[in-house]
Amino acid sequence: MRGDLMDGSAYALSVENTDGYLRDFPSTPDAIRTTLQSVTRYLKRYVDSADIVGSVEIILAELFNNIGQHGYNSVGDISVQLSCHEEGVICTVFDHGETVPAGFFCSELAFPSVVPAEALPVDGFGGYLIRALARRIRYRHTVEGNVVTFEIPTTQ
Amino acid sequence: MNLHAEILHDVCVIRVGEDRLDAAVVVRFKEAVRTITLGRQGRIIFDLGAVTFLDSSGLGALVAIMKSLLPDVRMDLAAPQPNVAKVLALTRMDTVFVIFADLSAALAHGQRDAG
Repeated sequence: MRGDLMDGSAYALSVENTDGYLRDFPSTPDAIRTTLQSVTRYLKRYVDSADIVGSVEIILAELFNNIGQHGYNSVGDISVQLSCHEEGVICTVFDHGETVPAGFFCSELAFPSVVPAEALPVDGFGGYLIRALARRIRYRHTVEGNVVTFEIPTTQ
Repeated sequence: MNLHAEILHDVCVIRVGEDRLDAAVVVRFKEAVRTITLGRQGRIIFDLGAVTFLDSSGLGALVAIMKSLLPDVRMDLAAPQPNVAKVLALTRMDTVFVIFADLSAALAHGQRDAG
């Protein structure tokens, strides 16, 4: 699914049809951005709710950023699969990076109250966004890497 | 980095012209804003009307910018689009920043305060 151009720069390839969406891409910020825009274009064809499309984009952005910033020492591969169903959207993300810390996907849901302003963190928001928006999050670490699956229901 | 700063009614308005405030632009965003806000006093409003997507990197940049300002500087946000407003609400940053529906409302609020 992924190859290298003659100049050595990595590129991503996508497969998308009515059965689903599949894309492999490198964990760079620019490739992550391009993939999120591609995913969003795909979802808008099958999902009427802008709110649901937006939620999927936020969750995937935080998963991808987490892999890019903490999963790999340098650039690595990420794969994403999506399928749209009457009940909602199912997404799976694969990577070969470090294991996700225990509890990352099951900690308390809401962002803690943080005042005064000077004590606010400037990072660590991503996990809260994932846990707040995703449903039925499942995480497995296998010999082949990390697998995260989640769902976004069309009805709450 | 697409930023435009102007002074309106003694308020520094920074219009963010980027479609996305994400990890791909966050370093350049913070550097560009710092050149505008360095040493500035009074009130600063970020007009986010053109921003359709904000991730945790962009959110962290907004918090870092607020923390870097002089103690008496007030930083407000205006015109967040729905997916941006969602990120602000889920992280409770809507209780940290004062957020206005649009720039006109933000500027009017300041004028009422001044009056």
